[in-house]
Amino acid sequence: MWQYNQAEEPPAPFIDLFLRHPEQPEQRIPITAKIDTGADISALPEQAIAQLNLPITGKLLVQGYEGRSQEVTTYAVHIEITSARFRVYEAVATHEPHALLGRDILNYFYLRLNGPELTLDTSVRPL
Amino acid sequence: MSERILKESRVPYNTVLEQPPQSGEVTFLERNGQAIAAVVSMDEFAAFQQWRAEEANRQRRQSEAEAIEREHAAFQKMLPELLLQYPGRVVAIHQGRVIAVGDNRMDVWQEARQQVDRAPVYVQTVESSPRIYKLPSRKVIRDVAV
Repeated sequence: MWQYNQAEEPPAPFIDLFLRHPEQPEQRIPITAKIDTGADISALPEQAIAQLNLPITGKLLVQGYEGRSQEVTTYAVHIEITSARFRVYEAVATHEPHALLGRDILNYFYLRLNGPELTLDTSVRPL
Repeated sequence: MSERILKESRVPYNTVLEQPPQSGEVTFLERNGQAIAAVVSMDEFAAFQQWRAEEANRQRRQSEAEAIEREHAAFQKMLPELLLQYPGRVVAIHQGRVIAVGDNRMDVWQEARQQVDRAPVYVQTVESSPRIYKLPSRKVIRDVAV
């Protein structure tokens, strides 16, 4: 179970996870990630991408906050959440200090948001 | 920076300094009046090694980014033909050629990377109008600065 991040206004659901290089799994860094069910694809902080030297996979058209589309570089990353080892995902870069977990990853999980108590549960099995 | 001339020893790489070099101090070893090596403090050497690793990494990332740009351009050029051969599928491009085809971007990318010993590989879905991914964040960036 995780606590919402109360530094956000209003408080927002965050979880902790590990990022790994997809081909050098011994390198692993911890990171916090915001649950973003409105995102089609996940995003990683640029520092984490640089630190792990994540390989470039290609380019995608991404429509951001203002509705404007831009072509962005994508990176391969191995994401590990709640000790469930994941396959390699594709993610874009963000200036945010935390990752944004989009539905490309969230849809593999069961999530339970408890707004009144500001807690979040995730599981690979039904909650 | 100090300069110290040491006599060439019979065992050329085994010299003794009276005092270990201080940070910022460089001792040059000369042979026939030509500087052939420099002795620095271990802190200085560690900083140099870190800089060299970072520089090698920066160059590798730069080279990777340039390779991906070339493959991206090759994909755009091949797109009319790819639309006839592989509509809706994912292709991996390396050195201007399709080296893997499949239905999942990361599966195709991984298969292709194994084929080319982890050299840069560009993956893209073959479609006439590229899909637009929604990511409602103000802070999405084009790429990570090299």
